[in-house]
Amino acid sequence: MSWTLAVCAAGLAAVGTWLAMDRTLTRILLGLSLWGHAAVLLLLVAGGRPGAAPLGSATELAGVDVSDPLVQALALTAIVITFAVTAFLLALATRSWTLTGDDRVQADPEDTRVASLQGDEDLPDPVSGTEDAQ
Amino acid sequence: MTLLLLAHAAVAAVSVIFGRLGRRALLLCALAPAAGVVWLATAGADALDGTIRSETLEWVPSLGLTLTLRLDALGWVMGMLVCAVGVAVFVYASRYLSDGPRSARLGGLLVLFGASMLGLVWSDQVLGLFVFWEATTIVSFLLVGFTDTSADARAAAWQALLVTGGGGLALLFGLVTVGIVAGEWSISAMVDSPPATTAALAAAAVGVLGGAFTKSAQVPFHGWLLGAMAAPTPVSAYLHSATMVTAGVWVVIRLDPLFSDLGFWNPALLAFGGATAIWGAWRALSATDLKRLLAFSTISALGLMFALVGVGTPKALFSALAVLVAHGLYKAPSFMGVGIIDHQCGTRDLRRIGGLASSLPKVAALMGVAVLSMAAVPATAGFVSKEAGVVASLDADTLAGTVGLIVLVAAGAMAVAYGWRMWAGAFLGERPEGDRPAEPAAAMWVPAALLAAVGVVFGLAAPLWSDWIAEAAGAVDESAGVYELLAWPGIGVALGISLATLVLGTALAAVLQRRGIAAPEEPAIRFDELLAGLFRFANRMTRIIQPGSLAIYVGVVVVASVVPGAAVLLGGSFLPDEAFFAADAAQVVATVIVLGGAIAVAALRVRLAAVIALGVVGYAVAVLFWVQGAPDLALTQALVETVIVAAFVLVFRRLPETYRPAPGGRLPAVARLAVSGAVGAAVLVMVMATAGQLRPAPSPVESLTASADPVGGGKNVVNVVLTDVRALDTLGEITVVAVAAIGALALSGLTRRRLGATRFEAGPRSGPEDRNSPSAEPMPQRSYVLDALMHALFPLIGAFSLFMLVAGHNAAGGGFIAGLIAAAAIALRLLTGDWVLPTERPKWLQPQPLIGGGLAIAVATLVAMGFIGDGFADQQIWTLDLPLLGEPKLTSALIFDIGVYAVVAGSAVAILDALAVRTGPRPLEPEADQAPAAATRSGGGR
Repeated sequence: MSWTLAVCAAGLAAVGTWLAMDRTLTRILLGLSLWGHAAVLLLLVAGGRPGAAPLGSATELAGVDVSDPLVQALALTAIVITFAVTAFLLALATRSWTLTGDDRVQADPEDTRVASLQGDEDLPDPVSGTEDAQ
Repeated sequence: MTLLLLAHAAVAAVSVIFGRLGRRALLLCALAPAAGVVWLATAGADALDGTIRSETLEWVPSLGLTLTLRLDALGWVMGMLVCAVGVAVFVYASRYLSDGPRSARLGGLLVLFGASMLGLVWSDQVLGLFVFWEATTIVSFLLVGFTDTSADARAAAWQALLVTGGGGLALLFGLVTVGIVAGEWSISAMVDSPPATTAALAAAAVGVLGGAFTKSAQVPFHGWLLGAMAAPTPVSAYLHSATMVTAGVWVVIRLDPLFSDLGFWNPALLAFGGATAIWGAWRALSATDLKRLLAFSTISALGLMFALVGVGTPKALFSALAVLVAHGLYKAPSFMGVGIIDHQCGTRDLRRIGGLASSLPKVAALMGVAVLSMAAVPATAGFVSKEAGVVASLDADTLAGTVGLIVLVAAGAMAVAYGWRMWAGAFLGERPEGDRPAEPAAAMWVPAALLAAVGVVFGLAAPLWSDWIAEAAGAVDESAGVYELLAWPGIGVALGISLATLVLGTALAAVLQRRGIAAPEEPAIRFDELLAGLFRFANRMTRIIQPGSLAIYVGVVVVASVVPGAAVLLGGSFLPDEAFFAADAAQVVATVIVLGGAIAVAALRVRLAAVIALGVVGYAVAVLFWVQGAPDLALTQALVETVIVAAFVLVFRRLPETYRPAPGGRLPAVARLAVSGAVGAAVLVMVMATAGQLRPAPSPVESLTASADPVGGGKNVVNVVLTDVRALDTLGEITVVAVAAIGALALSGLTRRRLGATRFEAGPRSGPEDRNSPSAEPMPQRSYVLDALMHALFPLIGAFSLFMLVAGHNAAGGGFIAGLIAAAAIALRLLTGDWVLPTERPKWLQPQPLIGGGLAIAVATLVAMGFIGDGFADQQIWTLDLPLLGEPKLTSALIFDIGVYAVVAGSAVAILDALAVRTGPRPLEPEADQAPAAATRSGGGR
């Protein structure tokens, strides 16, 4: 295992998490992009030592220390999917900006209401499921 | 056995579907348990002989999970009880219930109830046992809450579900633990070679006891059984006598050999069972509602069974089984009798009925017989079984035996008293004012009378069932197979104790007749208060972890999902086999750039600068891939980074230049730092733990590199893996990409329908704006040099992308990479201001046909290979003979890759289109206090 790669993946994940906890949607997206890099690096390190590119016929590659092609195939699709999902979220952020003029994530009003409940009288009745049962 | 259970399910379905059968459906339902009785009668000789019938259904073979049904003597006795009582209950219910589709539905549920119980007592596989156990819980919930217009019934159903369901979780824990400890999931195999007594086994025993005590309504979990009388009386009769509550006793008897060596097993059974037996009986003395009285009597009897198992000798276990059967035989007719009283008189309250013997003589007789058995008067099954219990307790000659004896005498004497109180209160004395109740229909009293009569027959001719009980007990503990039940034990200490109990009970009854007895208080903690407390707790938790802020949610989710996993890894040996500082200098340099860039992404407040930093990170990561020996990855990463940076730029030119300060409710920076640090550390541990350990032996690298060319027809091993070995996965992945791209298109309003309906004009729109129609962002100051360059480059890049596609099977490249190159070519045209609207492009360069066509090609190739080759997605290689080009090999993988190419190119173009086009009105003007930040965007295009 290359300590350098390990630290690189860990650092990317840490900064990605920092950004993901932001209010601004686009910054959250930047964080997700960094997370994507960290995940692909994790896959790559799992593949073992670096080696020659897995290009060539069986005879050409025989005896050569080749890097793991399976991990690369997994990582390749992971990159493309991360790209597509990031782009989708970007479109979502654009839409939010177009409609509200704000690209910050608002506090969830329903959750805020629940969190502000003080007494138990506001709680739904566990049996009947209605709020006015009590 | 499986067939019988399926027949039950079929009957239940028919009964529910043909609701217009009304209560006649109950007679149809009776066929299911009747078939059970007949089948068990024919199978009886074998089962009691020790010949074991077993049927296995594979469920999840890879986990060793099977549904194994096994009929031994214990299963036979329990099955017979369930089916015989079932037939009586169904016939009874066919007249007890009112006519209507709901009655048919109740019948269906009752059949399922019986079937679940049969599956439970026949299960030989602990997880199958649990499934049937939960089935009884769920069906009992539906049955107890059957009168769903009554709030009481709903509350009682909830309580039954939560208490027995909670106990079910404890049981699951116990069963899984015992399965792991024993390394075996079959009960019979576990019992043959019991696991050693360890702390884990003790924990399993606690779990099993938790399940059994809740199911069998032991103090302090008995509350739900009292509430369960909200169910229609046939349900109560079935639930109290044969199904549901006996399940707890059954599971303790069945698993007794596994746990009996544990020091606390028998004392716990004795303590809980004994306390419940006496408590329940005491409460029954003062109950005025007859069903409630009977419910307490059931609780008491179940406690007695547990206590007898807890005495700990094989003989006591044998007597516990006898008590179980005898109890079913008197409890079912008692409930049916009370149901008849309720049905004919409209009430079952002891204070409002009396003197019914003259108007309901048959009911009085059958209930009299049942009560005699309940009171353990000689010549009844109740006497025979309790006498066996007395003998077993005496023979045990231990403290446990003495305790068992005390419980038997105390609960027995009280049973005499409350039995008398119930019977005399209902049938003797003065009749209150009111109509004279009519005689019940034969279908109602005959089944009850038959069950009660069996109790007397068993009491007079004990050898009839002595063998059954002995064999059943012998199936659990071989040494218990030798005992016998005696109708008349002969003069001796045991008989003396039984008769003394009767005398004591009669005296108590006499006292009770003259003045009532004070009922003990209910335990202080009541179920509804417990539930309310739970909800208060949940509310408090919600306030802490769900205050409405997304940042806090992200923190909670990330910490909860990443950190515990890493902690587990930390506990094991997580150090990698081999570790080195770096592969070469380039790796170190690239890593420094990556980390520096990442910090810049987080630190920069100017949006575009942050995006450029993100691009730097991406390209540096591509270098890391290259160093690792993954050119395909490096190419893909570099191209994706190009497109994604372009996408971010397209969006960010419309957003304010810098981030706006966040409104309140932010996560404190310290907490953010702590969470981020924890996640980083966790990822480091994961990398260390997984590094180089994902490779099984022999390594797939050799087999893949060795077979890629000869079998896959390609020298690029990664591409062969993508398009051949994992072609189906790749198909799934390009589908995800396509869905995301189409989603982005839909969000931007660039769907074909809207494109057809709207005329596009580049430049700012004027007049009232259609919120949903797309328009192009104004693109000022086009550079003619750039335009000309792009026009020239476009076909070149396009051709290069096609080359990368075809060459990709043998060299770096392939559908993913080539598709991204094609998209980059279009992106260049887009950025120069050309083709901003998709309608300006040639039709074949629009995303929808590319995505759809690509997916169609990919799917068609895989399916076609199924017809041509050996199976779905089987690879084909054709060697072409072309005059000038030699003999190139054409593979089906290449055709598949063309599909991938089109999907990736189309998706990337779709994404760029979606982000380049502005839909709807201009953003609302920001609030005044944020005007300076917003001013940058109102200045028009850049």
